[in-house]
Amino acid sequence: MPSNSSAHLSDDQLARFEDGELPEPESRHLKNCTECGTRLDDLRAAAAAYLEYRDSIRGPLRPPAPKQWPRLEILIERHEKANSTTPFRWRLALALATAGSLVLALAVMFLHKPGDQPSTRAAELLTQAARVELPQGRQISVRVHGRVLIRPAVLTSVISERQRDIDDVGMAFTAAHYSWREPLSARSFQAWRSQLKKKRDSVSIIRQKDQGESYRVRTDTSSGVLRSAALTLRAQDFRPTDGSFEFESLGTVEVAEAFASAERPAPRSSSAVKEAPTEKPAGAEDTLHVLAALDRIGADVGEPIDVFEDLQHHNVVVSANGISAERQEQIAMVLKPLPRVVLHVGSDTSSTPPEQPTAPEKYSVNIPAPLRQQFEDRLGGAVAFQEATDRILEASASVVAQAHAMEVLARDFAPETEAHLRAQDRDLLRELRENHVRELERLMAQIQTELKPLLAPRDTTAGQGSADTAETWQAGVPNLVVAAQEMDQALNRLLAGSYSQSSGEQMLRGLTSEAVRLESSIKSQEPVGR
Amino acid sequence: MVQRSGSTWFCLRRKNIFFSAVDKRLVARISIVWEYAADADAGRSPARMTIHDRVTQIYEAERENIYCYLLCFGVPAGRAQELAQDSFVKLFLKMSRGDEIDNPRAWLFRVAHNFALRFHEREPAFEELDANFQMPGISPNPECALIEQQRRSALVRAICELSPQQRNCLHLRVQGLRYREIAEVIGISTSAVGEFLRRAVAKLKESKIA
Repeated sequence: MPSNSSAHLSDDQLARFEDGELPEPESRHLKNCTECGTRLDDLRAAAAAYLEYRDSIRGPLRPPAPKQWPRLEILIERHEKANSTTPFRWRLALALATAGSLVLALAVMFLHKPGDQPSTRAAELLTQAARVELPQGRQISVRVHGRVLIRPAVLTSVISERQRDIDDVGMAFTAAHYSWREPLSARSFQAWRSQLKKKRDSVSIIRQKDQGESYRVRTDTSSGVLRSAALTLRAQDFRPTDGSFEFESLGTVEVAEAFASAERPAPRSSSAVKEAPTEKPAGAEDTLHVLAALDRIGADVGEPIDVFEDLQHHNVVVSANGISAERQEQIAMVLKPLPRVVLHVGSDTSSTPPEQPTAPEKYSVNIPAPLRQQFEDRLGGAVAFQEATDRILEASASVVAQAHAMEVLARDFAPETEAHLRAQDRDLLRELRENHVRELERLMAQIQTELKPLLAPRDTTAGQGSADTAETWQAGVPNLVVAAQEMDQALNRLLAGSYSQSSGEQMLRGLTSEAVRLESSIKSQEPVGR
Repeated sequence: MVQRSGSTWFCLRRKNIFFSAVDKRLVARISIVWEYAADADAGRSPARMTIHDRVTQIYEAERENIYCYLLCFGVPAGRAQELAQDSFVKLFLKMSRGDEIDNPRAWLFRVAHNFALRFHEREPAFEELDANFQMPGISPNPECALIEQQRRSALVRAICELSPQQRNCLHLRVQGLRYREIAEVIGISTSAVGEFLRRAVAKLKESKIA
């Protein structure tokens, strides 16, 4: 609520007014205040402009829904049917696979002669491969349209089965009656192949210098959504190493043993720079090592990079979007020595400039003239004021980025996780925190210095930024993030916003306490004993 | 407030309707959002409607919006339609379990947003645009067409200069979502939504669009 009748509504209050959630006394202010009315009109005009763009300009170019919308009951029926038949389908697939194996085994025993037709040769190879015991914990990579999914070779968990339902690739396999549970398997290939009424097989031998000989079994069909499937079997042990699946609507899906794909030269794809999963599941220490590696090149702060464990906790995924090729190389280089790390980078970085959503947009044209004059006088002129504004807002954006980096550490290394880290990893975590805290302190000092001429001498009752007390450093991080965001918001509003003289003076007074609060939050993050 | 639209009556629960002075069509659309009332011809009230009926009404009113929202994230048309349909099935299942959903529409946008994230396995950019794309023809009068073309080009350029997050917030706002609902959909704070919108407005104003 405005503190007095002349105070303007904040952005938040304007938003609540539009949402019909602002109490009546404050809503009345809008009727009499031209400045707030103008701000509201600006917001409405912007929305109207976007609406015109969306409906009249962009709208006609958008493709209509390709199919007629089915009725809701049909969608629900399909969903229920899919859920109820899934277990049966797996049992059926297994039964078919077993039956197929038996039939093929018999066929091989009684009918096989060297140099037989390709279909007989394919069946023989698949039967032999189906008998091979594959090691537990294998990982496979599934590549489609430049996307890469690393997953276990055999899906077992309920979550993974559900995941299949929302995955277009999984649905395509299911629709083709090909096992998505275990796509890189001779048994699955057999099960699919055996149900085809019309098919054409071919077998080829691949000889590679460093990997020895392999058989490539390929089956083409004119029926069903899966038009062609090919499986490569290593000659020495009949182990399937990769497969290629050509779907009618989806295009080509390539499946390969994940570690095998890292050993041989991978097809050049901007979306998968490195894949090196191993059998040991990824843990918090792997995430820590990744963050530390990124920290060494300054890539853990303010860049569009996410670090997270994949669903099956087999790998730490580093996802980077909109970064330059040079930066990609740097990141790939520092991550290279680390195990259980998969780097995914955005598909098109050449045409899209890096998005910096938090970058301040600097202009200060709407500051009331007396206050602007005051700022300029204190800082040494209009140019000096504009330059100071740029530096302050940049530093403030960096404070928010550093606070977010701390938030990532607090999220990934909760007290119980931190307690289970080895001593050297705990030291590494502490070092990372220290780096962020040091940088926060440096930025804060810079902001304070820049702001000093504008602010009144600090009130002694406001405190000197004594440390917040939280039980653990993790518990103090949310306060730090909020304080950094609020400080950033206050600075943006004061130096690049639109307001009245009285609001400006009020904001200026409030800035000191915002700064004290942020300082306290930063102090609370200083590691003990520093 | 009750408003007549074709053969269907809609009840508006809220007193202040965003953009009510801007676009009458939008008011009609927003009215569908807030309260799906009974069809006058059927003579049923919302309280007596089954969950199936309610979700069917929402599905018919909102499926195109959810589909378009997914397209904005670069999801291909076929997949966008499937994901839009899945969103409504999820809504039906959730409501059938007796879970309360305050605003089904905001909930659907959130599900669609999450689908878009999963589809890309990354944070997708909202509406990656090319400022030079060919705009559809407008007026048969060459002079009017030229003026209109220039105005629209300026509008496209201005929208292109907004960040994807700013466009996403504006998109959801004109869909009638409240600030806190937009925040929930995108997974950011309400104040961040306010900040994105404030910056978007400032940029559009600077371009003399707003």
